[in-house]
Amino acid sequence: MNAACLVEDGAQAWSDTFRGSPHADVSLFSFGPIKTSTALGGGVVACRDPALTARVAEVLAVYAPMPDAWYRRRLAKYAGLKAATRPEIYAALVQRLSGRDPDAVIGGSARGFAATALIPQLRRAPPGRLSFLLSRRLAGRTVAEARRGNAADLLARLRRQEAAPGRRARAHARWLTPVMAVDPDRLIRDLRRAGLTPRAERPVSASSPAVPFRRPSG
Amino acid sequence: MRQVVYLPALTVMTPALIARLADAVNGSEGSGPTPWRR
Repeated sequence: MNAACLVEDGAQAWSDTFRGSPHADVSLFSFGPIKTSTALGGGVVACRDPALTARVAEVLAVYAPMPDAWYRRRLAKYAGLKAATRPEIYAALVQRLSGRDPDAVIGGSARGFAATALIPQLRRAPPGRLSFLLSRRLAGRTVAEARRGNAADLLARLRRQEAAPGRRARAHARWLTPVMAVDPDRLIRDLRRAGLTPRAERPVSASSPAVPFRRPSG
Repeated sequence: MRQVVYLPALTVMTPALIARLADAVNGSEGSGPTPWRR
């Protein structure tokens, strides 16, 4: 036996079918603004050992709550960003950016935390409204199934099935759906013109038949 | 060489938007060689 504590970063994997690995001592889940199941902030620490749960609760109890006004400002900001995801509004926004990268502009404004001094920002308790929304998220059904169904519809429509790496993975959460494009710039242009928001990655190696898809490192 | 493009989150997509996405992906494929075989 050893005393290692296995901490699992569950990120946004909270779903109807996944609440943390049984092999993990601690599973962490995020409900931040850009997560697919969001409370516009906050997270969940799930501990296997009740004594550790009590200790975590003790530590969290001393943190001062964020003011309610902070959360109302946050609600207004993300309501605006959400409105901008409507295809016609997004397409108009891209036009107005006149050459600036929409990923950088929108990604920058969607950040949940300021770029500096992360730890003090984490050592705050959620305001009541955030806790309320988070508890609703935990009790309600998640959107993972709808997303998987939409991904299956999309994949079925692709002319060249090889264009979708990972399509055979049985437990794919489909947070992202990668596709391979001969002319990625054209695809991105076409999608943006249609008011959709793709993200480009750097070229991947296509030389190894054993590894049809590899996320580029670095 | 093909390059990966991550499509937008499909969580709240309507069937019409899914069709638009698929058209764009199919249109970007061209007639280049398949980079790997399975």
